[in-house]
Amino acid sequence: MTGLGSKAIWRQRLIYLPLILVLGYLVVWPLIKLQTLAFENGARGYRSQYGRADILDTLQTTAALAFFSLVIAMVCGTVLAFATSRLPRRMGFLRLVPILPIVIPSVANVVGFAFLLSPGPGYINILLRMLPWWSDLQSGPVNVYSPTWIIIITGFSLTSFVYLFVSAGMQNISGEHLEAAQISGSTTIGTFFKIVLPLLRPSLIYGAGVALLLGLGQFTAPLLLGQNEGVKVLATEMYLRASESPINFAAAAAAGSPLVVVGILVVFGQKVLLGNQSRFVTHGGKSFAPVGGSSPWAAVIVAVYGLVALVLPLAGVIIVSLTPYWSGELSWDLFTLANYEALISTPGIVDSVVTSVVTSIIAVLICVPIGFGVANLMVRRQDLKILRTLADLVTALPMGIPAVIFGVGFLLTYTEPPLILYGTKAVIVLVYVVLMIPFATRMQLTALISMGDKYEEASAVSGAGPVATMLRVTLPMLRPTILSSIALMFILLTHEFAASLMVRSATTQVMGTLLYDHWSNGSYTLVAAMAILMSAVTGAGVAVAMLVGGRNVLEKL
Amino acid sequence: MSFPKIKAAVASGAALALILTGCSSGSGSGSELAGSWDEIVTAARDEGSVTIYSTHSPDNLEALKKAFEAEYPGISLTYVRGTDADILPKIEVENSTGSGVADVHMTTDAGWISRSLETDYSAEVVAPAIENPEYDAAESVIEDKFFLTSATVFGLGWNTTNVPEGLSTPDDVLNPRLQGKVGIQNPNGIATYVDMYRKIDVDYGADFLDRLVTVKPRVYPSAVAITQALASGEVWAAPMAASNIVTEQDKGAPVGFALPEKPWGVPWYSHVLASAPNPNAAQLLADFLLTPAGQAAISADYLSVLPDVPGTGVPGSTVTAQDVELGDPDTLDPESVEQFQAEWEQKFLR
Repeated sequence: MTGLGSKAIWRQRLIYLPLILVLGYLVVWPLIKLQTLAFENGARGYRSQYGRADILDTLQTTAALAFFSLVIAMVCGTVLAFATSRLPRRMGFLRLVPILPIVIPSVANVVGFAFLLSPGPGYINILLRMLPWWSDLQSGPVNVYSPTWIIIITGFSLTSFVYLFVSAGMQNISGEHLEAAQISGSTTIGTFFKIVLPLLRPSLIYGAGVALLLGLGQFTAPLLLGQNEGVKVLATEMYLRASESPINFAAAAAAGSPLVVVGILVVFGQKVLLGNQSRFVTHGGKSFAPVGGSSPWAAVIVAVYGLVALVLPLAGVIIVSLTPYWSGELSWDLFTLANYEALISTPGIVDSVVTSVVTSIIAVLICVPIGFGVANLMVRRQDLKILRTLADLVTALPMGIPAVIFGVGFLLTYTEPPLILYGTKAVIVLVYVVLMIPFATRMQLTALISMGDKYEEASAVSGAGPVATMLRVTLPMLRPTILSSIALMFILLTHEFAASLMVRSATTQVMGTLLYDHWSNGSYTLVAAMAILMSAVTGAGVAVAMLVGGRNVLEKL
Repeated sequence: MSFPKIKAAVASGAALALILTGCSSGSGSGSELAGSWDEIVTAARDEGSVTIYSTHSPDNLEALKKAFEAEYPGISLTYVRGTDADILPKIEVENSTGSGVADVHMTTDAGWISRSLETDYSAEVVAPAIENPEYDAAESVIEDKFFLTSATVFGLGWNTTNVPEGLSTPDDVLNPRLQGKVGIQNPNGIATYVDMYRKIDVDYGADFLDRLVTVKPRVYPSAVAITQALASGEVWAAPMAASNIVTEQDKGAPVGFALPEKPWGVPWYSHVLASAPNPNAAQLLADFLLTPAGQAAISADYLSVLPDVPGTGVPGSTVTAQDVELGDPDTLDPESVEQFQAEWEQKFLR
């Protein structure tokens, strides 16, 4: 190596080092603070949390929720990905259906299911009780507050994530690979198992890993539905310990530790299993051609999923939002728009919308350049090994560690000197940045990897410098990815609930946390109207994303 | 500098700038309590806003907001309604970080009130309404800080569609027909409910809790949530329902309410917070809470701290908030509450 070369490397290091340090402070420091506290005074936090009489139940419920909702999500997600690839031409619009549940905020979705499946006044239960074999029941037959239904609802909510990963993987498979296999004499099924599935391995592993971690850290459904029957998971335990008087941060940290450990293991596991990611360069001259043509059954499968996961809960929310009080007995004279008027007159609701939108936009604007910087470091700077590894791990951590843990960590970190940010929007923005860094980074990283280096080499051979190549080749090629990542991050953030619930203050609220407060107060009809409002805000975000990024921006998620 | 370098630098700069912005965003108006009451009223108008945290019914807090803003145009009232489990940690964090949001805080937690007297959470209340002889400051104010504001009596609530015959004694709730359709409060983090469970275990008939288990009650975070569950028909009966059921009745909800022979009640006490960002408006609100107009709002369908306030109290009785005793703080320390919670969970959530 020449002296000049090593000087250039040092310059690179100095450029990327502040980025890594800031990321380290944001992502890792709150986790270290939590663990330090949990181990203080002879691990008092661990003794307090794991000495509880119900801790075994809590651990079992957490594991069951993660495992079974993962199974549901993997099966539904993969079937949907395959089904959407076989949709008849006229039914192409159904491709959006598996992604749409992401647009419906999880709190809205969960309360929608509660309105439908509450054992007493749940609308579907009332219809089911009209059937001859259930006509003698006074409540049920479905109990949305039971662990089984919490798992099913969680599984549905994770399905979209698995679908995203698997279908993205399918679309990235070049038709050349498939044609080559067929020319070499492989059958359709053989091609699927020998070519498609192996090339899907990164998507499947990522999808399963992400769904498992989301399931482990699942918070919304257990918190909103589980309280009636004492269903506890580690994430809700963290919330409860951090919202006691006096706040028991040490026990909250200890409650979250198993999730942190599994998160780190899964993140490492994914890296080992995927190995050298450049093996998965799939860009070729031809795009994915579905194996075996289209089928009307595919449309039926997608439509049924849309009905169950999307239309029904939304219908439940709409009906409750139009009544003066939630009741199983509906009549036309009950219908009212008072709850929508209350959205304006009830203190804090309009503010919460503004806070959600503003904090989400600021966080997204901060995340995109960070993600681009990290993705570039990882793909184009093979020479900066240590920094690359650090950046890789730090940006992957928030994917592995549930949002509620960052919420508690941020509450702890920013209610103490030197930086007291309690009650400010800044702390919400910071935690949002941390939560979205993996999405910002991974999406741009995947695009850069898939692109390979042949375009940049071609540009260089044609005489363009690095800046010209970046501006005229790389960035234009990344534009759809960046726009998709902005859309995805904005949608995810306007829904964000778990971390926001920890860092919000009583008057600095986002939409999801205020909705939860009204849910706890039993203001179900107002909650329903708020759920519609939240969906509308996200819907507006999606519409803007489509205007800017093209009609198929959602499909690029 | 090449493009990726610029991007990397911009990224780290942006994150750093955000942190620095956050640093400077303090809270609180920095205003101080004025001298005379007239000066306090003037200063309160300058502050222009006041925030109350309360466990009272959302309908009553909304009524309080309207009444206060009508009395003092130009000063907006923000209320935050939650359970003690939601609110108490916020009060503590706001105090410890000096980032006060709440000006006045209203609670029923006897243990917390007692413990907070040893801290610097509260400011002395100087509202002239305290001197009203009908209010009886000697009985109603604790150490010049916590002042009695309202009270509730819990009774029997039912859904009139599903239980048309209504309830008259706590034992009526134990009818096997009501299995799975009885709503009760989760005492998690709420000392007031711990006190309630201990008392009704005796007053509702011996070992009432052991007998209550047999109807497999559904659990809700607060009495307010139970009222809604009764209205929706999600549960049909509740042995410890709040009197705000009457408010839902007026909206047309199919619910009924009756007091048992030995009802359990709890008073709300309020205090002006030392970390209040609007200390003058806080005193003004404290004063307003103790006026007939304030009581008509905050104590509608509940017990007033003043006699003869229309829309408050129990029909046919002269009972006021002063007649309802605050729990014994010695039995409501955090350890004892946590232990009761564990026992309660073993009973009701197994």
